[in-house]
Amino acid sequence: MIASLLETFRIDFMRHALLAGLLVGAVCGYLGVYVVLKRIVFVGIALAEMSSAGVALALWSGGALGLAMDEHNHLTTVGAVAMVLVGVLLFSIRWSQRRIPQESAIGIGYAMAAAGALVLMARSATGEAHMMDLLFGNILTVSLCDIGTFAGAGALVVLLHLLFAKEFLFTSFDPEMASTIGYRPRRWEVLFHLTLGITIAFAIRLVGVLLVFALLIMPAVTALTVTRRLNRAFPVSVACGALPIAAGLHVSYARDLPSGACIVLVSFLLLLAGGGVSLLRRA
Amino acid sequence: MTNNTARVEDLDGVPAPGPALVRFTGAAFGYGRHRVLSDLSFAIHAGDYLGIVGPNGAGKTTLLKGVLGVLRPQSGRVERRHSEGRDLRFGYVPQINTVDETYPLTALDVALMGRYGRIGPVRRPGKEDRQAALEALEQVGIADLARRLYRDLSGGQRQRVLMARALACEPDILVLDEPTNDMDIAAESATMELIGRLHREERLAILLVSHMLNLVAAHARQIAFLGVGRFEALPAARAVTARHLERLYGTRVSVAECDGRRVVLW
Ligand SMILES: Nc1ncnc2c1ncn2[C@@H]1O[C@H](COP(=O)(O)OP(=O)(O)OP(=O)(O)O)[C@@H](O)[C@H]1O
Ligand SMILES: [Mg+2]
Repeated sequence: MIASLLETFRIDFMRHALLAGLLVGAVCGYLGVYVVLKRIVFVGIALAEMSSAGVALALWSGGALGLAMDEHNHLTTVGAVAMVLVGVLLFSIRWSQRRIPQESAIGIGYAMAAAGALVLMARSATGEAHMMDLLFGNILTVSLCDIGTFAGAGALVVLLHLLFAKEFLFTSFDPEMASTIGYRPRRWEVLFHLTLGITIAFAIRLVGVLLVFALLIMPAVTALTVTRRLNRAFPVSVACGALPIAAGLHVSYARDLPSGACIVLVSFLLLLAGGGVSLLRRA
Repeated sequence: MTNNTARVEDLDGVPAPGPALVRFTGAAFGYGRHRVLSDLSFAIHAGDYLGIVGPNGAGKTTLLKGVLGVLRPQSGRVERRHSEGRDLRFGYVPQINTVDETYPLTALDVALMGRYGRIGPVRRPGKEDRQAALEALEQVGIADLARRLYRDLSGGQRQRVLMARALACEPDILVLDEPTNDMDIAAESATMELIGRLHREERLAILLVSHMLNLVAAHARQIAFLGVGRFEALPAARAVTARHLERLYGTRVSVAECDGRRVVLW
């Protein structure tokens, strides 16, 4: 078993995939704890969709401008980040909260992004194939350069969260009380959305919308199931984000199955195992 | 514009209140174009125990937000001042059902948040902060629950945790929004007892908001009515009389003395 695992990761592109997956899994695992506790799972998928619409927009305008393929690469990064920022802005505004719940604004953002991406793709030359990569990810084709970009963005996000752990926690747990002792909860919320958005924008370029979304939720839910303390949930969730990567990649390589989907399934097995453990403990 | 801050004369033999901590002068509050409160003039002094009573939607929570500075006055002024020239510290005890229960935080974790305002950005709570949070839990009588999860506690116990968190700020004023909602009578009287003790022993100024007239009438030293008649803080003995209440509410009211407490019947 170990031997065949090592065998799998002797191949260059599999090693890159592993590295990319571990990085994305760890950062998403950390942020996922907030995503689950703040009940903003939907924000996660909407931001992911916005950012892939940004990529579609970049591909389309790149084609319209007649740019070469490698120039496309930078343009798509810009597109993804720009659209995620638009999303963060959109979801941070309190739309007429009383008549329409905030959630609907997020839903509209999601639908518009998905539709926009489809329309733009239909109009661009390299469209379909790229679209499939974006949605289902192609962790097997990541370049070291993409990994480096994500590592940079991820390091910034992690640094912010380590420095301001108590601020993020307090303002999301009880914004009202926080504001009575001098915190600005709205600003912290926007900053949180920004860190989430940046992570998502760079992560989907590596592993696709589906895997990012799954890694934002499942590790955190597993961690919150097996631990009973928030300060332990964070490291456990990071581990649960990283663990299924190697196994998932190995299965996908050995059986010739889609890699992102395999990782998601292994994550789910881990979640089931976590549920089992906590049930046993309670019994 | 009248000034309703005429010092409350002392009726219970307790020392007269100290300097004004919070002073409203013709302050108005609202949300956008919707004006909720207008022309409020009153003050909260060190050592006060002010109860605010009013029907649902009268603007009690809005008033609290004005006191806390979460909501700015649309006109008029709100001054907050501490005699030593530093910022005034509020110990805010929110309505219990506004606090999220999904977070797996212990009672100690929650109480510790009361210290966050003093720690400053980036820095983490230290030993003395944990000590202060533990002492606050001790003060409200639940030191033994420190390691239990907040979400696993009963309503009354949670209320105490929130009170401990407010005390961990080392506040000048304790601000409570409907602190006994959803409590049984034992928990309710224990909570009110605790608030009374903090008022007497720690010389904490108390601002208590409730829609339950009897609760406030039995415990507060000064009472103000919101949403009926003119807003003014009166000594409890003068505010809770059949005549005054009948004038305010326009309905028959009787006030009885029972077990040393005033009970209002209507
Ligand atoms: N965020 C808000 N935006 C707009 N209007 C608001 C807002 N909060 C409260 N109001 C309005 O202000 C008025 C007073 O509300 P407030 O919450 O202060 O009442 P309350 O006295 O605390 O009521 P309750 O006893 O039900 O808690 C109500 O008419 C309410 O509709
Ligand atoms: Mg209220």
